[in-house]
Amino acid sequence: MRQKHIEHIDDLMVNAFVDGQLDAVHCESVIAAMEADAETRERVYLVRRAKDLIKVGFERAEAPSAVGPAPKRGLFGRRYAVGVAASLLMASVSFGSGVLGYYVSKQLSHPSQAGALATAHTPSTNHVILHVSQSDPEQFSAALRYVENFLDSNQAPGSQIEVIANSGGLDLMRADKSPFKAQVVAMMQHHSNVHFIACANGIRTLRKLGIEPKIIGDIDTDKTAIDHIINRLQAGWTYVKVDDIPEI
Amino acid sequence: MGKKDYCATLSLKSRIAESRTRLYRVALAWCGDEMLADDLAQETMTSGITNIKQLRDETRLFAWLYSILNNNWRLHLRRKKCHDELDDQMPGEDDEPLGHCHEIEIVTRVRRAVASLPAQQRQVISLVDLEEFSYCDVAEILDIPIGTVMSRLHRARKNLLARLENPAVEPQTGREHIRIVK
Repeated sequence: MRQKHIEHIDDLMVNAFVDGQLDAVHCESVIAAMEADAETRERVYLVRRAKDLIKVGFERAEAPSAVGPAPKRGLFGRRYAVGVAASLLMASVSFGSGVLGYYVSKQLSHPSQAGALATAHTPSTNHVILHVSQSDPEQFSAALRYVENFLDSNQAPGSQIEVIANSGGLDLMRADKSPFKAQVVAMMQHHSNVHFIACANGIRTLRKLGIEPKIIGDIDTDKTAIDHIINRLQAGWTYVKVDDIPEI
Repeated sequence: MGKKDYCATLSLKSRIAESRTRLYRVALAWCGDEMLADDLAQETMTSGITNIKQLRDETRLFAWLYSILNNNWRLHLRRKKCHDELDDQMPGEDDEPLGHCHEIEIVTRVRRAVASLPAQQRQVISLVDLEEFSYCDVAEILDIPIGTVMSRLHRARKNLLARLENPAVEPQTGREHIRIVK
C-alpha cells in the first residue's frame, strides 16, 4: 500500500530535499507539493539559489601561495610547488610513515626524551623542532626553559634544537616586542646548535597589516613554518608544540 | 606495522596533504580572513598527520579532519581573549541588490554576506554547501544535534539571501545571544 504524502512541507523539509537528505516518502511529498503549488516551487528555488551562491563565493578560493624556493620536481617527474602537499607527498614516498608516524605521534613532555627516542630508533643525533604559535609570555618562557633543558640533557656533538615561530609566536622573536630578547640573543651567541626561525609568511602577514616587524638579528626569516616543520619531520626530527608542554 | 598498514597510512597522509585547498575554503567561509584561514588549514593538516593513528575509520577521514578544523577554530576564538558573541549580528554596508553586480562583485558580496552571518550559521552552511557533507556528518563534526544542523542551515540560507537581495536587512539568529567570556 502506498504511503500517504506528508501535507505540510515546512522549511526544514525543503532544505533537506534540496540537500538530498530526505527519505523516499518525504521526498515524494515535496515533489507532489511542488507539482501542486507555485509557493513550494519558489521555496525550493530559493534554497537552491542560496546553495549556488555559496559555491560561487568560495569554490575558487585558493590558499595563499607559500613563500619559498622555486618548485621542485617530484619522484615521478611532475612539478610540485614547494609547500605542504609536495613535502608530505615526497616524504610519504621516499621516507615512509615509519619516520613520520613514529616521531610525530609522540608528544614529548621533557626534552631528554627526544634524545632517548632518537637513540633508540635511529643512529642519527638528537634533533628537536619546537613550535611556538601564540603570543603568550608564559609559552615563551616555557619554550626557552625547554631549550635550556634540552641543552643540559643533550651534550653529545651534533644535537640541535630549532625554535620556529609563526602567527602570534613571532612576538618572541621581535626586537620591538619580545620580553625575552636578551635571552634569545644570548642563546644564539653561546650555543651554535640552537637556531631561531621566524616564519616568512607570518612576517608577510604583518607587513600586509602595515606593521614592519623588527626581527632580532641572526634569526632566520627565509622559511615558512609549516614547510620547514614538514621538512624536519621528513628528516627524522622530533616535533614539539610548546602548548603541549605540561608546565603550561 | 605490516606492509598493508604501512601503505594505508601513507595513503591517508597523502590525502591529508592534498586537502589544503578544501580546508582553506571552509576555513575562509568561517573566519573571513585569508591568512587566518590558511593558518587554520595548515594547523589542521599538521594535527591530522601527527595524530593519524587516532582515525579509526578511513572512510571518515574528511569528517575527522573537519572536526579538527572546528576544534582549531574554536581554540582560536578562545585565545582571542575578547568577549565574543556566537550570534553576532554585523550589519553590512549599503550595497545594491545582487542582480546588478558583475561576477567578481558577486563573489565579494557573497563572502561579505557570509562573514556577516552568525558564526554557527557560517559553519553549517559551508560544510553542507561547499563540502557537501550530510547532515549526520555535520552534526558529528560540530558535535551538535542533527535538528540544530537543520535549523541553523535554514536560518543561514534565509539570512544570506536576505542580506544579498536586501542589504539593509540584519541576520536573524532565532535564539538568545550567547556571550563567551574569555
